[in-house]
Amino acid sequence: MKRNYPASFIGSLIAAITVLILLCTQQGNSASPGSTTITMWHTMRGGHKEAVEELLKKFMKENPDITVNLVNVSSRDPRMGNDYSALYSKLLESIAQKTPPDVAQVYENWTTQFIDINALVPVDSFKNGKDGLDEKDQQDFFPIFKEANTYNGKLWTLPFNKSIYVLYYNKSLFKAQNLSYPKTWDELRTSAQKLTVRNGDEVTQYGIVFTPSVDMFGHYLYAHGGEFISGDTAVFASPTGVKDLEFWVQLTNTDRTALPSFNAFDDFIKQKGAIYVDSTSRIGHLKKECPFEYGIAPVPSGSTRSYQFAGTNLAIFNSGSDARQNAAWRLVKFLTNTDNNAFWAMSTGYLPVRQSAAKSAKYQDYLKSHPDINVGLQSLQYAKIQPKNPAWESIRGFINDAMYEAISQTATPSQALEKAAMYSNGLLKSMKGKN
Amino acid sequence: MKRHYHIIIYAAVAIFVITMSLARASSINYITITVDGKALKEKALFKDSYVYVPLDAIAAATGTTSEWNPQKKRAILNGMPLKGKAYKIGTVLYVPAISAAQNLNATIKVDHKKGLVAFATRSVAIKPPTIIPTVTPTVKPTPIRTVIPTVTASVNTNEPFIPVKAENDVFKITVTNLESVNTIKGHYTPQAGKKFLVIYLSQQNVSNEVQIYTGKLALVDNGGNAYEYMEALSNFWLLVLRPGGINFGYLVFEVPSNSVPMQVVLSTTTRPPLTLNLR
Repeated sequence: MKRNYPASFIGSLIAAITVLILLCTQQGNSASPGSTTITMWHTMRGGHKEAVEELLKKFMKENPDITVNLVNVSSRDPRMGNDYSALYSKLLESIAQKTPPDVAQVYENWTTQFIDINALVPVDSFKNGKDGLDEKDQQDFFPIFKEANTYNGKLWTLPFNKSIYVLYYNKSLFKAQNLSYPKTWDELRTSAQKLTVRNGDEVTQYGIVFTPSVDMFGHYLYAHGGEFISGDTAVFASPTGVKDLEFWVQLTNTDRTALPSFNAFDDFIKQKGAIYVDSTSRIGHLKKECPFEYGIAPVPSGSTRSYQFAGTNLAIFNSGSDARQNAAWRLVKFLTNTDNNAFWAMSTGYLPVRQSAAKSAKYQDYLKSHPDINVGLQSLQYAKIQPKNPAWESIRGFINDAMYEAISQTATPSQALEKAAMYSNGLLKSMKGKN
Repeated sequence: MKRHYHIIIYAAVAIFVITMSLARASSINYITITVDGKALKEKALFKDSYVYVPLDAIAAATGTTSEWNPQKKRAILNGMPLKGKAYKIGTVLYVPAISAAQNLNATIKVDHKKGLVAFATRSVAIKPPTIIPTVTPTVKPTPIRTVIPTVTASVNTNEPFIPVKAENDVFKITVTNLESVNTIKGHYTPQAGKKFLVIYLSQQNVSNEVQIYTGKLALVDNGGNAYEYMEALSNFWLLVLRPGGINFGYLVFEVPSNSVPMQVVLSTTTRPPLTLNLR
């Protein structure tokens, strides 16, 4: 007996088969035959976001066989958390679910964690392929950035948006006191004394305005040859660390020339303090908002010159797909090549990460009209990395608390640092579990 | 056309029913334990028609000792080995209530309706039984869907806060302190009509696998409202935790001034939310 298949049945069948085919082909992440689709996660906002988008457009034009989904990851509520920790949380969650992006911005201490759980593909594994990264190319990155992206002798990630700490000062106030910017920590102390203005017992203007934070603590520490962590031990409560905290306690409570503030940047612009230390990423804001002439100098040196820097790198994630990983490498290589890095640095005010980018004609031209960035650039040769340990974020918190306790005089510098070191060592050990 | 919709619906229902019945297959109920009329904070398990009691808790409640002998793989209560199968859930070892009662020279009565197992101890000393078979435990944690609160604590700021913990087969959360503050670092204040609650806690991986994503913590108050913590004021950051690994720090929540903190809840992607009762 012949069966009659109604048109609606055949229609559903065709639809079902089409859906099946589409589902199967989605697995290969192919938008069109022979092309690869990858995803990049980033946290850039405003002008920086536009710069990334422009670079991505250019990449896809030059690489028509690759489609990149650029995903901006940001904190849902800035009062609750910042964009970078939102990104870290999302990355860990996606790795746990085996659906990581292909490329993402990462901090050095995140990378340590990711390597440990086999979540990344090292840049090093692409160095010899076609589209590789030969020795000369690798040496072109500023040594400190190459070092920051190297783990156990292997290059795992590449630097992307980097900034360095510098000292900003109020030029008019300095001129009024016939002072030049402080080059050492002793000079910082004496400058602060000369710049502080009092009305009776009340201070109307401070020499320095600063945030009592781990980064402030780090400037003196590094300048005097100190370290935060050595191996798996917290070593910041050393005699150097104690002297560091004593310096700030003295300037705040004895000299009364330093103003601890959680709005330090605004206070500097309001001329509450003549000196302010922060990263080169502040330059854009200063240019827009600062009502007075400001100067930029290197962070003061002590027994040595050693400056902290900030910012992230680009990592390639282990997706299990060679096609995606190769495409991810081509994107990372593109974003960090000389021309594009120079473009990125000029668009954003981040530091160039390659020496060739810094020396390029376009960037040299840029420096002429943006001389502010020079000090940061020159400081790069003395830059030193902060710890790469996964517990670094928590340890920063312990030191933040110690800084505040000492400055508010609820604990002595020694007590505050010992406690922070105790917590830090506790965590460094406890996070490892039974191993 | 209608025929095909029916097939899809039947298939979906079948899959749903099968999944739900698989999930129910090893269901466990928690019931109250009383010893001589006094209720314990710890709960007993009712599994596969038997009642199991937490070894250490029943020993403490009866003024006797308990022990786990890893070489001989047996539990000991009141100086004598225990009969029957033991279960380890997280770090708690559960033993058959009947065997426990025997070792304690107690009688037990199980009231299924009330969800209660009542121990009644005798004052007469007993002789240890002569033949005791060894207990073979399952040391692999059995997945459970509910939480055993071990201690309830007062969060009245006039009284010291007693640490509380909660665990499932993956994580154990311990809250060691809770305080209400109106300023942080002499600078940060809550919005009008609100206060800061600072919760000190630790999170441990109690499973045998590395835990890459350790979840999101939230606070629930007496109104049933859930709050995220303020990262910039807190110090608790995500860490990959190896088996046994512990992360710790503190969380700052901004809540209405009259909010009473009731629970800390850990949300992960692989388990139902882990709830820790603060009071």
